[in-house]
Amino acid sequence: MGSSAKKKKEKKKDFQKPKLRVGKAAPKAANTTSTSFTAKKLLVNQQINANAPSLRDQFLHHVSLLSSRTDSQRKESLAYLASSLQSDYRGKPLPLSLKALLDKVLPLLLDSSSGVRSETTKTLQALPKQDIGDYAEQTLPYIRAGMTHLSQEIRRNTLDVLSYLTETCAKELVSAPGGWTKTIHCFATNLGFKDFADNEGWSMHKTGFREDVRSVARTLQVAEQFLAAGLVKDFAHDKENRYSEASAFPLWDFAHHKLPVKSNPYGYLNLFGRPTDDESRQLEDRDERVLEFQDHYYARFAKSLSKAKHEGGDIGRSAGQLLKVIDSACKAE
Amino acid sequence: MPKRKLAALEKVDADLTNLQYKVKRDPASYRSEFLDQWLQYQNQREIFLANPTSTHDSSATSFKDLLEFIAHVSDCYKSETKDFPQHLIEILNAHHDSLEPELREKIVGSLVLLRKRDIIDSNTLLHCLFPILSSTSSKTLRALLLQKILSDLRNSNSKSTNHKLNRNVQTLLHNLVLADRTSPKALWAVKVTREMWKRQIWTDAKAVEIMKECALADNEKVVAGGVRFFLGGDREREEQEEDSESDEEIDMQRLRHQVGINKKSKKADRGLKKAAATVKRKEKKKGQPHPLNFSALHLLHNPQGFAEELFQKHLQAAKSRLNLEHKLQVLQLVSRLIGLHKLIIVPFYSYFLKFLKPKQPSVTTFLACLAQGTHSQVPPDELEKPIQTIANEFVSEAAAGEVAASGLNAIREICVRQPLAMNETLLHDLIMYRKSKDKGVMMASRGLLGLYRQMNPEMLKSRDRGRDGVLGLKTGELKQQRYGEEATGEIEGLDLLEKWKEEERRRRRIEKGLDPDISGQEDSEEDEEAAWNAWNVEEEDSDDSGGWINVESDDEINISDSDDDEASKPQSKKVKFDLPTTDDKENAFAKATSEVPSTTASTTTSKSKLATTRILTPADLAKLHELRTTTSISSQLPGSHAKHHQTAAAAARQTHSQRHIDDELTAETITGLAHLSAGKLTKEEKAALLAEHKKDRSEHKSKAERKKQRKVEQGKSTTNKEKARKKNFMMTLGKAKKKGKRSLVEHQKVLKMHSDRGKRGGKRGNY
Repeated sequence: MGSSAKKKKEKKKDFQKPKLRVGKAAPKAANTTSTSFTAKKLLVNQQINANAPSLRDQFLHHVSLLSSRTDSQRKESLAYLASSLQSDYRGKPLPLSLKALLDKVLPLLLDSSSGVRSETTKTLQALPKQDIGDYAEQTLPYIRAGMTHLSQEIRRNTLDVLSYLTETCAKELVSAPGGWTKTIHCFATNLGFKDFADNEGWSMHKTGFREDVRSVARTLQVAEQFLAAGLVKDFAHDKENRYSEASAFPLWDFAHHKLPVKSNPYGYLNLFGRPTDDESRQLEDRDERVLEFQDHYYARFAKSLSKAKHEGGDIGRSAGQLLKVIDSACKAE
Repeated sequence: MPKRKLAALEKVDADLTNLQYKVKRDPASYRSEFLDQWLQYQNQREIFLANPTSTHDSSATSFKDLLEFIAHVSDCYKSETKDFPQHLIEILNAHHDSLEPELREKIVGSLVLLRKRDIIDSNTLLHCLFPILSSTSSKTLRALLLQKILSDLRNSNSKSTNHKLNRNVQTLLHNLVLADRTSPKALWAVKVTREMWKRQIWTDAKAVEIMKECALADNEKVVAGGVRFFLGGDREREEQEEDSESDEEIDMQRLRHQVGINKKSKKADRGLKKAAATVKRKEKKKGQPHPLNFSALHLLHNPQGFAEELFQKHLQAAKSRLNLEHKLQVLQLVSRLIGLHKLIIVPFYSYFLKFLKPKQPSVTTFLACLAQGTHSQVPPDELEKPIQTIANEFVSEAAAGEVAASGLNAIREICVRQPLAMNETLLHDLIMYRKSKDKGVMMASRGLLGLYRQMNPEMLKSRDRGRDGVLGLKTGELKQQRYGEEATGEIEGLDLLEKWKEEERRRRRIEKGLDPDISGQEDSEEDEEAAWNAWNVEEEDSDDSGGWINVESDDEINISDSDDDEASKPQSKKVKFDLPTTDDKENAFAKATSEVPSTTASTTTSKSKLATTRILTPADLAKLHELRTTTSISSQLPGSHAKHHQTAAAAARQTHSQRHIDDELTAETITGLAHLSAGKLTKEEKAALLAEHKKDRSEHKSKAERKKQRKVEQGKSTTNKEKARKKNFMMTLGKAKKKGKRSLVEHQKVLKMHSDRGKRGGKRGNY
C-alpha cells in the first residue's frame, strides 16, 4: 500500500510465467550455477605409467595399505598378499623381511572386521612354514591377546591360528620366552579353570563353561594340541640328533661345537631384552615344561577336566583326550 | 520375523563400557570377567611395549580402551590391579615423547582418575607428572599436565589444607629451581607457585621462598616470572577473590517457587538441592573469619639480603643479560623492597644517576623507582645528588612541559618520603615554577609547595608558608623531624574518644541534676561497669556472622557469658583496683580543660594517659572505630570546615596516608598531569582520535554535537563559551545595551586593558 509503481512492478515480476518460444533456448532459471571454466592447460596428477609397477612394488604397496582406515581396503590387501605369497613368492625371498611383514599383519588378528581377520589367518598360513617359527616370540603376544579377547569371534579366530602354528612350529612356540607359562595361563582362564589357591570366600561361582559347546570343545582341542606339543614331544633328543651324534663317532657333543642352526641361539640369556619376570621365562627343555605344568596347572586342569568329561558330547570327548595327554606326561615322571 | 540388521557397534561384542557398568554395580559377580580383561590388558601391554610408537586404530578394543576400563574399575579389585599404577607411570616415563597423543592423554587421565579414587596418593602422581612436565617437548602434553597438576593440588587442598603434600611439592619446586640456575625448567615452578598463590592455597613463606629463588635465577624468563610475581601476585590474588565472590547470587525463594509451578522431575529436585547446598556453603563461608593474607613482600625472610642480591646480580653487574623491560621490573621490585622494609642499600641511589635523563626510555619508571626506594631512614646526603640531577636535567624553562612536570613530581615523591633531602635554595627555585603558564608544571610545583607547607614551612620564604604553615610554626607543632627520629606511636583517634567520654559524663551528670564540672568516683565506676556490661550483653547477642570472631580458647568471655551477675563483679573489681590512681589525675585534667582553653602540651600528655592507665573495653574500641570513621568522612565532605579544626599535622598525616605504604608508586603518578601540558595534536594523532570515535557514530551528528555528547558522557562540565551561548536572550540585553552606551574614556580603558593583556601573554601572563 502506498508503495511506488516501481516496487509494484518488481513484485509482479516474481510471479510472471517465463515465456517459452519455439526454436529458442529455454530461459535459464535464476539459480543456475555456471559450470563452465577456462583454463590454459589441464594437469593430471597421476600419470599413466607406461611400464606397470613391478611385483615387488605392488607387494610393498599392499603391505603399506594394511594400516588403511577402511575395512575393505585392508581385506583386499590381505587377500592380494596371501595370493601373492602362494604364487609369486613361493620359495623365493620376500621383498621385505618377515619380521617387518609380521609387524604389519599380526595386529590385524585383533581387527574388528571379521573379513579382515579371516584373511589374516589365510595370509599367515601362506607364509613360509620353515621361517615362521623364528618369530614365535613376536607372534605369541598377539595370539594370547586374541585368546583372551572380549569378543568371542576373535577368540575363535585366534584359536585357529594357534592350532595352525602348533602344527607348523610347535617346538619354537613352546620354548619361546613366556610361550609356555603364559599361554597355558590363557587357556586356563579361557576355559574357566580356576586356581583353587585364590578361592575367595564361601560363595560358589557358577561352574561349567561360559561359552557354547562348540567353541569350548574347539578350545579344548587346541589346548590338547598345544600341551601335547610341549609335554610329550622331546625335541632336544629326537632321532636325527642321536643319529648324527652316532655318525661322528669319536666326537661327542659334536653339535654343540657347530655353528648354531636356529636363529637367536642365545636368546635364553636375554642379554638385550627387558628384564623378565617369572612368567616369561624361556623353557627350552621338556622336563622343565613338565615340571612347570605340574607345579602350577596340573591340579586345576585335572580336576576341571575330569568334571568336564562327565558332561559328555563334544566337550566330554575333547576333555577326555586332553586329560589323557596331561596324565600320561605328568604321571610318567 | 525378518532377521534383525546388525548395527555397526554390534559387529563385535566387545563392549567394554557395558562390562564396566556391570562391574561397577556388582564387582564380586563379575570378577572372572574382569580377570579375563586383566589378562587381556597384560597381553596388550606386552604387545604395546614391544612397539610403543605404532598405532592400530582398527583393532576392536584398543589398548587405550582397556586402560580406561581398568582405571575405572580398579578400585573394585585393588589387590589384582596393584601393579597397574606402576605400569602407567613406567609407560609414561619411558615413552612420553613418542606415544600417540590420544593414548598419552588417556594414560595421564587414568592416573588422575586413580588419584581421585584414592588408589595412588597425590605425592606419587605429582612426582610422576612433574619431571615429565619439565622435560617433554610436546606443548599439548605440557598444557595437560600443568592443568592436571594444578587441579590435583587444588582438589587435595579443597577440604582442608594438605600441609604434607604442599610441603613436598614446595620442596620439589624449590629443588627444581636450585638444581640448575640457568635452565628454563624453573619456569614451571613459577607457574605452579603463582597459580597456587592466586588461589590462596599456598600463602606461606615457603612459596615466597621459591619465588625468591626464581627471582635470583640466571635465566631471564625465570627471573621475569619471579619478579612479576612479587610485583603483581597479590593484586592477582585479590582480583581472583573478588571474581569468586561476585558469582551469581542464587535466589532460593524464586527457585522454590519455580519448582512449585513447573513440572516436577527428579532433575529439578536435584537442582534445587544443589542450589540449597551452595547457598548454605556460601553462608558458612561468610561467617568464617577472614583468612590472614600476608603480601608476598611481607613474607620474605631476610629482605635486605634479597634486595641486595637482586640489585647486585641483575642491575649492578656489567654482564647482566636482562633487557630494559626486565631490568625495570627488577628495579621496581628492589625499590619496593627498600621502601617497604626500610632497607638501606647505599649504592642504589647513585645507580640512578646515569639514567636520569629526559631522553632515557621509560624514564618516568626510573623516577618512580627512585622515589619508591626512598624512606625516612635513607641518609639525606645520598639523595641530594639524584635530586640535583633531576632538577638540572628535567626542570628548566627550556624543557618541555611534560618533562618538567614529571621531574617536579618525582622530586615531590622523594621529598614526601624523606623531607630532609631537599635544600632551601633548590626548593625556592622549584617553587617558582608555580607561576608557570604550563598547567602540568604549575600543578606539580604547587604540590611541592603544599608538601613543604605541611612538612617543614621553615624552609619556605615567609610569604609562601601559608596560613596553616605559619600557625603550625607558631604553635611549634610543625617542627622538622631530624634524621632518624621516629614519631611516638599512638592510637589514632584516642583524643576523640576521650572527648566523647567527657561529653557523655557531663550529659549524664546534668541529667541527674549534678554539677557537670565536678566528677565523683562512683560516677566513673558506674561508667566502667556499664561499659563492661554492655559488652557482655553485646557478646550474648552477637552470632557468628556479626563480625566478631568466636575464639574458643578465650574462657574469660565464656564465663561472663554463662552468668552475668557474678561475672561482672570481679571485673568491676578489677577496674576499681585501677581507678584510684587514675581518677585524681583525670579529674585534675578535666578541670584544666574546662578552665584553660586546650593547649597542645596538655593534650599530648592526656593522650598517653588514657591508653596507659585504663583498659579499653571492647565497647570503647568500637566507639573509637566509629569516631575515627565519622571524622575521616566529615573531613572529606566539601562543605565542612573540619579541615580548619584539624591541626596541620593531622592534615599532613592524612595527605600522606592517602596512599598506603604497601601500594606501589607507578610511572603514572610521576607523569601526573602531564597531559595538560601536552602541545597540539599532530595530524596523525588527530586522525587516530577520529578513527577511535568513529565507531560510536551510530546516527549522524555534527562534530560539535558529538564532542558535546562525549563531554557529557565523561562527566565534564561545559565551557564558558557554551554557557554564554545558552544564556537567556533577555538576560544578555542589559549588558549589550550598556556596552553601546559606554563613554569614550571607558571604551579606551577597555581597549588598553586588552592590549596590555596581549603583551603580558594572556590573563595569567608569561612567567
